[in-house]
Amino acid sequence: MTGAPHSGSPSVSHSAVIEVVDLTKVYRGRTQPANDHISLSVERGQFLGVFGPNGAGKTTLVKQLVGLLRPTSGAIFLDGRDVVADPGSIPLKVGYYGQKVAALRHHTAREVLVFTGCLRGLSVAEARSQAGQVMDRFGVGSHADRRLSRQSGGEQRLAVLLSTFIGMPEILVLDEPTNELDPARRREFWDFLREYVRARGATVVLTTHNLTEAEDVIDTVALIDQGRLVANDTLGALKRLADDRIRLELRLRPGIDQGIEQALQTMEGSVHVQRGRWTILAPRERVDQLMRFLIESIGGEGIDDFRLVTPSLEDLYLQLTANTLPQQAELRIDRVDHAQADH
Amino acid sequence: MLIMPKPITDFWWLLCSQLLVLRDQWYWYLVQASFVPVSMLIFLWLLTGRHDPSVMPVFVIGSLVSGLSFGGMLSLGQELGGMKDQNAFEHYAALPISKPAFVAAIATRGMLLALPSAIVMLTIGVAAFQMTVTAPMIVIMVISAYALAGFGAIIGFVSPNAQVSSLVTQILQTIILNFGPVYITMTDLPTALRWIARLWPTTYSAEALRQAAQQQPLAELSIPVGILLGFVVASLIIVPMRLSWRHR
Repeated sequence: MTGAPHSGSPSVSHSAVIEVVDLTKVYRGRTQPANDHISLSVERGQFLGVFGPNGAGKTTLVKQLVGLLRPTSGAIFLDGRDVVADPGSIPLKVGYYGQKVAALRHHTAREVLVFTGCLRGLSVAEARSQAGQVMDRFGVGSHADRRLSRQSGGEQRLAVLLSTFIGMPEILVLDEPTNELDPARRREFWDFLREYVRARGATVVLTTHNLTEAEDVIDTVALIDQGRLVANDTLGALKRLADDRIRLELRLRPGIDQGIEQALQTMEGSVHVQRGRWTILAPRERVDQLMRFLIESIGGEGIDDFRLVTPSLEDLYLQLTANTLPQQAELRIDRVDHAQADH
Repeated sequence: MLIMPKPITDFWWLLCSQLLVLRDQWYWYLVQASFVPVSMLIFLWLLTGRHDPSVMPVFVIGSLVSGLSFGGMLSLGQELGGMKDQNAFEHYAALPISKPAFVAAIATRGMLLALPSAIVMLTIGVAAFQMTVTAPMIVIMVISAYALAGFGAIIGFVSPNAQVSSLVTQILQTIILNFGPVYITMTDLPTALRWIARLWPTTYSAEALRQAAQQQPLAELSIPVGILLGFVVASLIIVPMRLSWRHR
């Protein structure tokens, strides 16, 4: 989807902590803008997920938010203060996690956290206390005093990522925070982030390619494609915009009556995924009717498993960035074709 | 309880952070900063010093300045260029720290890493060539190390990438040591080179150290030492002004 972004309440707010107005960034020597007239806002305590394909302009946007990149035009306000004119005020409020750890490879994990706290103005005792708490939480005590250069990529990133929370900033800007973390660490991190936001009322802007995990935490979505904001609204509103239908994923027990499979095949919105497995898309108001039909025609014994789901963030992402991602769009068509051929 | 101003505490923590590199690589810094000056001193001794020992104090001072230049200007300039290439400053740019404190910490690190080589050269001078070390020499050595580190910091911060900073520091290193009054005296230089030599901190460092080694009155040292202090102040003021955290 291109053209004017779908934009609901998030972009117009008087209680916005972050307000981006008509932001454009053109890198020196290039003509194509990396960010093209982007406007959005984030309210206090809100989680904004910034998504888009590689090279869409997500990192360019967040680097301007934290003052690491100078915008070509447009304005950014943090708590009403123009931070393009006064970038020095940003670090007082914002904790930023980028993806660079090179400067800290001679530090131990504990030193990264404690030094960061001291540079954020904490006393040594307070910095040590906060570092200890966060390291205990993630169980990194065993290698807290080992230099980052002697740790795995995931451990290095975790140390730098956790340092973002030292000093308890009220705004967090996290660029691909879970890259290189193993699944257990990722889950721990999302739980920690939720708790932090709940306890501190913090505002979060994050970019990630891990949409399934991000879906559990974000409130609003900003979808960027080719430098433009193509969608900006609450997750629910965008899902409804993308596809308001409910998806029934159905698995039948082997040996089910052929007549039932034929009935499913003729049903509107049904796709035969593979033998005994069906996906049926139905408008919300028809879901109870659909369920009644299935129970009556198949019976509880014939259904091996089923679940009802709304479209995922990944579905939404693929649909809204279809123009940029022809291969993925083709892949989806192929899957449906295969399913039909299989049938 | 005494509460230190934030720029002072920033400086302290940034310096501690910068010096952590020593834990892993202090011997490489010492070798890098000492090898060339010691080799050059040996070469000059073989060439002329063993026939005319009276010239050796000039060569020892030249090698001492050369060590300060390797340890301060060359290695710091190259490392900062490399850090810039890797966007390593982003971590610091995202923290509420003062830029002058950051630059002062970087220059102090360069100064501290340059001093061991200078101490090696002084030790050789005292042990092998009966040189006398005076208190002003120690002070000038420290000021020189700071001035050269600041000079390297300017090159590192202003260079667009690691390749440029590496190239610039290596070319400058050759020019300021071989075409300046470091291993030879100012009067031995052609007129044009005398004028160019006035641009480099190494010129004033060598001049001040030679005069201090000859136990000349402090008043005689005031001009070269004043200019060296000017290099220090300029690097601590100009660099923070030029240093932009933000990319364009």
